[in-house]
Amino acid sequence: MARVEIKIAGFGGQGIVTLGRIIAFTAYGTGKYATETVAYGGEARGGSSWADVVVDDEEVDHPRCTKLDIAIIFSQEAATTFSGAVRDQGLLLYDPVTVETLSPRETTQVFAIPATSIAREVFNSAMVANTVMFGAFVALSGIFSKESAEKGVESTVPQGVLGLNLQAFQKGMEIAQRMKGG
Amino acid sequence: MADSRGVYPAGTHIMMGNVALSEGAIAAGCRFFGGYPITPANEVSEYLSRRMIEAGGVFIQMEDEIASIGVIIGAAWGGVKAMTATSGPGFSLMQEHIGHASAIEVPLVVADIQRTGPGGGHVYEMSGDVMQAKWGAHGDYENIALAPYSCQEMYDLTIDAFNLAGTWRVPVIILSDALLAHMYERVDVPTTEVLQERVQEWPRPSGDPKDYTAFTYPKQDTGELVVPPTPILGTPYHPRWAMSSPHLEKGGISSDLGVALEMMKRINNKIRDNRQKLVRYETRYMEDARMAVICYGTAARPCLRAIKEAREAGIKVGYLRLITIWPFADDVVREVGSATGKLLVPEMNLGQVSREVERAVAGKATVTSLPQARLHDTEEVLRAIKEMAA
Repeated sequence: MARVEIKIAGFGGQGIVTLGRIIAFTAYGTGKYATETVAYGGEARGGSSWADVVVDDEEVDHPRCTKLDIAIIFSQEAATTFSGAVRDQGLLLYDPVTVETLSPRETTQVFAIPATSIAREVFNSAMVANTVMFGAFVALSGIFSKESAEKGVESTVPQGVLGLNLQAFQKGMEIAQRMKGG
Repeated sequence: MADSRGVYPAGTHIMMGNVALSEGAIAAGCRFFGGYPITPANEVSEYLSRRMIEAGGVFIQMEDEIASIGVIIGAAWGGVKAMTATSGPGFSLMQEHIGHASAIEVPLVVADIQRTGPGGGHVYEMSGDVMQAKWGAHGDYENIALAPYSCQEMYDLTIDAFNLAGTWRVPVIILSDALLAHMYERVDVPTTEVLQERVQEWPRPSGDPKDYTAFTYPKQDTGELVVPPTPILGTPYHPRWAMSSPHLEKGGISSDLGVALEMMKRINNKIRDNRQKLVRYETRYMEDARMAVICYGTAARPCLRAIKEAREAGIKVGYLRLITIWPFADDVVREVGSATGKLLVPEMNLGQVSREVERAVAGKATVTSLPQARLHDTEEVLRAIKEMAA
């Protein structure tokens, strides 16, 4: 695997930066390199937020996404800004609760992952939407094995909510695998 | 040596750049932080407000940046490794005291997390303070500035900064920027044993206090400059006077302008004469290079990407990354310039280092500046490389 560029975008408070860190931790756990850069300015809970994660087999040079391979979208504003930026054959995951319209390229593979609904309805906590999404990301991107991804969650998420997050991760994987199969 | 209570667990961590810098300071034995909040340096203060106390040190938020640099000068003169962190507007306010510290040879570490300038600017990445780090205060003085390009270097170079400050008795400036400061990346924290090797105790005065010389002086036989241990307030190892006005080796003030010239020479030449020891850089792809990119700090990363892509397209381009910005790497820059004849200098400013490069190569190479007010795109560096190769 060469360089993979992943953009995660949505609102502040949706666990965007943490999801980026889970991906980075997982990458390091599998012997790869990763760098996460985050939006910085007037952002706050409810304002726009994004993270760029670059995963590579060698040390990451350019730390920002320049040719987007994968986008994980949690807001309509982010969908409008980034959905068309995903490269041909690239991967776009979005949360249909917050995203109504997308304008991806024709060959981008687009998956609606109901991460927020599952987090609320199955786990009674909107906080785990990002780990549901991480499960879907792992299943659909094929970048990491399930075991290494679980280790990534374990190294990032606080101990008290680890069990819940691992279940949410599992659920996200299952849903995405069904979508992939269908 | 770093206090065992203060050492971050050895091993691999993913740290934010500003946290890596803070941990590097703790590992280096820094036990005094004085600062005033400013974006994008805030995480250093926020983190150290807890961590410095855990490590048994002092954290103090001062009323402004002038007081912040003042309080660390006092702490360092009291025998403690001390630092502050700020950004451009605060760094401007600190210049008068940095000049004072350079004149009386106070070892300090100042982290400048650069942001868009001039004036209030923005809170995004830039490296517009490169010249200010060298020429910010009035008068002739030399200090040291280092430019990290990864979170690992935010950690490592902070340790180096404290070692250099203690050895040469100068303010050492860490020139980082908003992007690197908020980047999350792997940082390998060395074991306590490795840290013990790497972290230097600052030299302390010893022997008969009557024989103690407080300020840099030339050896009588060779003229070589000796940098004595920093005086410590409250001990007999302290000059009667410690004023930045022209002073003699033991601290006596003089209105003789010959003394002024000698003092200026001593505080400048201790750095200039030792440039070879101080200058650090990294080269890659230089073996067959027909042109080279000279870069530093975070901007080196898009340069590296562009060089890899240019090489895939068959362009023989080399990479020289300056780690030490001041004193300037004249010799290696001249060497790379003479060997390749063409230099590209992408910077997150209007070309501050490119003019230094021009001075160093003295006509031996054409120098093209590639200015930017943010991190460069790979494409714009690649385009410039292709234009130069054509």
